[in-house]
Amino acid sequence: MNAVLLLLTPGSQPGLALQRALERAKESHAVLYAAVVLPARHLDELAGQLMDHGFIGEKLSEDVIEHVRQEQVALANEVLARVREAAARAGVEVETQVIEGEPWEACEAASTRFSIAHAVLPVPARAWFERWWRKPRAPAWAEDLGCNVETVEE
Amino acid sequence: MQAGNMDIASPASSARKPRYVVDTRPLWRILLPGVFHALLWCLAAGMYWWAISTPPPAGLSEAGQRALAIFAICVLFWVLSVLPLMVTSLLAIVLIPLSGVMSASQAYSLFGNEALFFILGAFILAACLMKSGLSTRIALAILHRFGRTPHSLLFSVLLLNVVMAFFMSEHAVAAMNFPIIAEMTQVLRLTPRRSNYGKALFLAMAWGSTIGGIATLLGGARAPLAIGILRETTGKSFTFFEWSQAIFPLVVVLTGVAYVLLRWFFPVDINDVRAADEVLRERRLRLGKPRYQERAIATVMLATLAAWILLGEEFGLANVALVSVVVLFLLRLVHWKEIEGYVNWGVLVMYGGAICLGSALSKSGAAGWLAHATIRDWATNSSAVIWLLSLLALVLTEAMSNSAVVAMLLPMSLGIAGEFGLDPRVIALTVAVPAGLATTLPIGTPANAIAFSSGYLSLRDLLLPGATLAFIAWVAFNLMAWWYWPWLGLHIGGGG
Repeated sequence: MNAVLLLLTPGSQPGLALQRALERAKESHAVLYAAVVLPARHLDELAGQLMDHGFIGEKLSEDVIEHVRQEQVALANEVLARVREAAARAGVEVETQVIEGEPWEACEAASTRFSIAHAVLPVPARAWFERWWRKPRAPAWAEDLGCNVETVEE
Repeated sequence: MQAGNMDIASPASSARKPRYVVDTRPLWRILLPGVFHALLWCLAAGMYWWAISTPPPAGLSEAGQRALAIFAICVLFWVLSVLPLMVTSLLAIVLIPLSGVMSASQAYSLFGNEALFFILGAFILAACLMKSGLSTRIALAILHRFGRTPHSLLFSVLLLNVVMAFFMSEHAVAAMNFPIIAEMTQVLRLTPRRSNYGKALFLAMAWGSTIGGIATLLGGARAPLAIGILRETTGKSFTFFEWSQAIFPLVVVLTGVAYVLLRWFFPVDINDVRAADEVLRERRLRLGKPRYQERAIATVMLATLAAWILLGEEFGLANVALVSVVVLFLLRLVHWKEIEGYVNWGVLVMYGGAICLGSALSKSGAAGWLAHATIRDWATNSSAVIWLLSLLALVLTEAMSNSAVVAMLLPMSLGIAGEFGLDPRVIALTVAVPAGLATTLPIGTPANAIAFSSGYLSLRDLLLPGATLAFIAWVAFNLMAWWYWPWLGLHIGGGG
């Protein structure tokens, strides 16, 4: 089954990217597979910083990491709820998932069940002066997806 | 239409099909991360070999040259995080006797420094506050009492973090208050990355704990570390009260400036915070009435604080701290196992090593030589030394651990104090205070990192407001040093 992949981060506000992903899914009669990636690496880095630089005890450090994780999951769920609402309005079949790991792992999880025809990746908008000399760049791992990757600045 | 349910998946546990990825990056980019640490180790070994095999330059003893080589290795490792900070300190302790800069017994005896035992006592006392739930109760009470409107809630969050960091580690304050603020932002339905109020609340938490952390010797271990190095190298010191007296005006000014900047950069975009107030009320109800344990710990803490201020000079700060710890155990208010999880014992190794390194640099004459060869060329008078050192500490702390900044800059800076007729205690303040004011980058201090991980702030939200606060802090610090410190007998005027 074909799917359009929309990769998001917790706390992101998918506007244009969501719209584009829905359009692509509708055009190709595909499922919209929206995944929010909780980058485990960031939590590891935060834990390292708390312990090594802040000299915070293990218990307090674990507590705060768990709270940050819960906060990110809550934000991810809010984002995906908005995606489901928008997909329902557009009449597009949707599957959502929160994934802990790296973005390419989310792609891998999606590709075990769907044939990914198109991927939409929201990227941070460039500053006005950057637009003169820099193109919006897809992350390096996007090359491995084996499908069209469309970056949308938000 | 919804085809699937939402759950959290860990790819490691999900079924995978074989995956082969061809890395198309240039070869040097693929190999560099793998060999980077090896290159740094080679560089460190090369520096050390060079130091022991070449004759020292004029004015520097052989022991001094070796101490400098060890110092350079530690700086390299601290800045680039080649090893955990405390392990780098261990390396220093091993290299100092091995190089013949000091005897092994001298080097290891520096672990008996009073500053280390003060840090140990202060961390255990703070652990008791957290473990008993007393600190959370105080936070909830203050926020519930004063945070009735969006503006007053924002100011309460800022002030709460400032005041709590007077009594316990600033990093622990941010870590402890994060869940409360995260819950408030959720019930207020603030939109991540877009809500100004959400951004302001998390920044108030980070900035508040950072600003409060410089006020007393309890806010962060870098102040006791600075005093430890100061005492070990010059014999001079600060009492608990003297330190706070010298810094307090800056804390008051920065708290006001931080509030103004938060409102300036993030104009309040909500009208009602009743939902947050309700959460605070519910949390307070869940805690119930203060238990005997909390009341007793609060009494011991207040008595300790009074003893630090009134009797600290006579009995010693570390003695007061450790007596209080013993009293807590005598009254069975806390158990060792409970404390262990709240104290990071690596702090003792880190600071023990830093004090040892500072002492080695000073006693071998390397600190004075290095200061003469570097700062002397840039600074022409004592005021310029203060401007320059405070700026250096402030910039460095944005990119590396504040304790590492103190360990790196202070021994060298103390070396130049005599040359400009500066009181070494002024130098200790000039390095230790700005080193605690990392407000701009998430890597600067754990409080910033925690705020950034909330998902409400982008890097841009931290950069400009943080840099503005840091700049104002630098100017305010120097004005305070120039106008206020002489009233306290800390003179920065002097010859060039």
